[in-house]
Amino acid sequence: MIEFQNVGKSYDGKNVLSGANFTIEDGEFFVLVGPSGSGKTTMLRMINGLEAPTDGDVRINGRRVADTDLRELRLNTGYVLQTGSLFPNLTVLQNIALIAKMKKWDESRIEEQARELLDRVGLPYDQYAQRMPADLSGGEAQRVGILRALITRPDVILMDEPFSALDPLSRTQLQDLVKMLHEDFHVTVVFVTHDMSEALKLADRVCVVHNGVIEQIGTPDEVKNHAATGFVSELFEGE
Amino acid sequence: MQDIITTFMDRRGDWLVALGQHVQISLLALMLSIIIALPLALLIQRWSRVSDAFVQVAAIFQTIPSMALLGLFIPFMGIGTVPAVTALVIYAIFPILQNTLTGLRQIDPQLEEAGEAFGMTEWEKLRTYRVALAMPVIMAGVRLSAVMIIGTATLAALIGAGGLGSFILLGIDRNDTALILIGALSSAVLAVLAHYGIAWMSRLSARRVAATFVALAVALGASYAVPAAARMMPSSGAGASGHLVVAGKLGSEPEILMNMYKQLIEKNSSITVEVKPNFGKTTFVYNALKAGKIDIYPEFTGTVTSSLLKKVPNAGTDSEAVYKAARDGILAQDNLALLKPMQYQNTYALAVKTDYAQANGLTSISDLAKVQDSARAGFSLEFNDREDGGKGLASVYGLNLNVATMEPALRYQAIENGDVQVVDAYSTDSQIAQYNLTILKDDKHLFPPYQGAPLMREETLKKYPQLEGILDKLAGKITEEQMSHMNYEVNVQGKKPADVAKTFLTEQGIL
Repeated sequence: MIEFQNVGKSYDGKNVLSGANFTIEDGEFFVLVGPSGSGKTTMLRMINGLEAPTDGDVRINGRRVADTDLRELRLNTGYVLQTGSLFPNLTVLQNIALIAKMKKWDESRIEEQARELLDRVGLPYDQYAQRMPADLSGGEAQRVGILRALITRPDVILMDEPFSALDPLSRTQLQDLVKMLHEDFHVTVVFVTHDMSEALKLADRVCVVHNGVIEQIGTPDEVKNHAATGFVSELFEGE
Repeated sequence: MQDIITTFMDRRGDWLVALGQHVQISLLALMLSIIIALPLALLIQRWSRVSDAFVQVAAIFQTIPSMALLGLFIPFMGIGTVPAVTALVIYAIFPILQNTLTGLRQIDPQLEEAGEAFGMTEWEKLRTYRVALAMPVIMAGVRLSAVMIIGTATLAALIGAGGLGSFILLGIDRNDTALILIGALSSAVLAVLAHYGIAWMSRLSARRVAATFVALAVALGASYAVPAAARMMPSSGAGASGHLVVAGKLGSEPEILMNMYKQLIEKNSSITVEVKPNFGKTTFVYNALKAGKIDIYPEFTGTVTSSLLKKVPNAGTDSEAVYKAARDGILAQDNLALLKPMQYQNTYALAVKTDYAQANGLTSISDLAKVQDSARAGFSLEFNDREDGGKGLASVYGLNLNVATMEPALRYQAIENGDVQVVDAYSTDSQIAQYNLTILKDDKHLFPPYQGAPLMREETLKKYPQLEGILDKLAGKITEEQMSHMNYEVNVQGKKPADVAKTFLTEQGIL
């Protein structure tokens, strides 16, 4: 359970986020949506302590992030960035193994897990494990990026516009894949996007952010058909 | 070209030794620079302001001229490999430090964000991706350092560390283009090989680079350890009989004298003597002697009175008086013993081309007043700055010459080419005959007598009192003609100083 309690953030006296109050349930697919600069990425980065709130508290399972050991927190929180976030000096397998190694898994367990996951997302282990990231397509690289976050079965996975740089076909495939993985692993997903149809397709609940303020939180049906503000209805017009 | 090949074949043995020393010094300096600069960069990279400060300091160090740095080190580090390598390391740190920091800073911020978000420690980040991704830029810095070190290491010869620079220095001193070219080309080829070798290495994985590094370090350690172990063996048997290091300034004359000292000492006592020739300037050998890095070197009485003594004695130009003033002065000032001098006077002199002297009616230095408006003088830096040299020409003779200062060995070429008309010379220089020069009479007695004599620490003499008797065998010996002829044999005929020394001592019945 992730709780935002009256969370605000300001840089040099300028408010980028204020009064954020909501709770993300375990196993929920929670999508933060809004135009760029709205504060959605700031909220995401507060969950694993990459940013600290200037007001209020972010709590995970009741415990303030500010009081948590960050390494411990981050090792148990998957993180998927935009494409290009694989370490180019490491093979596919080494990239996937990173966090498992930091958690002191033994080699055979890592290999077994990597094999199962790679096969499952359509990148056969025997063909892909020893490849370098430069030899992968954008979609393939992002699959590996997701597996890298998933291999140790964290409770929460944070995804920061993971598909924004992909072509429409790969994007659709990966959206389906993430949806499937979410259901299979019962993991909490917090997902940032500025693509409204992506938000509606993936989310259990959507949180619409605008100018650092939360406009509405609700199911896709609610935000689409019962917009709380003019901004929200404008946003989902035509979706 | 033919000349270079013959010279090279003649000196193949020397060349191999010099090349070995050069590689050794360069490799040691490069290793140390990497060992210092790389961890330092990794340590400070987190704080950009601290990093900038370090880079600035390293950059400032790099602007100090290497000659100045070597001069500064001699008083407390002495001579040889230690100050040479230290100076090289100071130069080589900068490119490695700067490139490592640059390499780390140019890593994609997305990757840095990933590393942070995965909970990696600084060390895990460095190990997992930062060093690997910065490696090409780091290796470019190492390459730059290596090329610079190999070039600059030629200066090591100035302070007795050997290397290819000894060919260059000797070539300049003896006006032997083939020697200069052999030294310079070898150093250049070495630099090019290092450049491509390291470029090839940077394509390897970080682990292989580290393995190569360790292998080179082991080889380097062995190259120092094996000869050192070999040296230990016989000396442990010789024990109490003692070992002395005889050094000398750059040039054939000091080298001939040093070999005479060695041959005489080894013949008449059980002391073993090591000869370290071609040390460059007076201050280098003088400071090395005071610091106990060397034990004996041949010095001139006139140099002691006019350059080494802080209170210049008024000893006039009588050679006996100057010797006594030098001996007493240097003993009181530095606890150094100046033994009895040889016969010949290697005093300063002014020389002009013989036809120029005839055309302008020049026989004495005073006569130069006739040509001082048109003539150009080529003086060595040391001569030009001395009261009993260039400064004295103005104050004693009232001459106002148009002076260009240059390396001693280049003066003769300059006068041969007609670039200058007057040069300072030493009265025993073999070049006076070689270039058909006339020495102008010192009619106002500006130049003090310069007689060669062994200079050593008083404590060395107390420890080995027999040295005085042994070295005094040379006292009052060797005329100017004999010295000049021996210089000619070494400089022009290419004979070995040790052989020339031995022949002379044997002929004179001293050995």
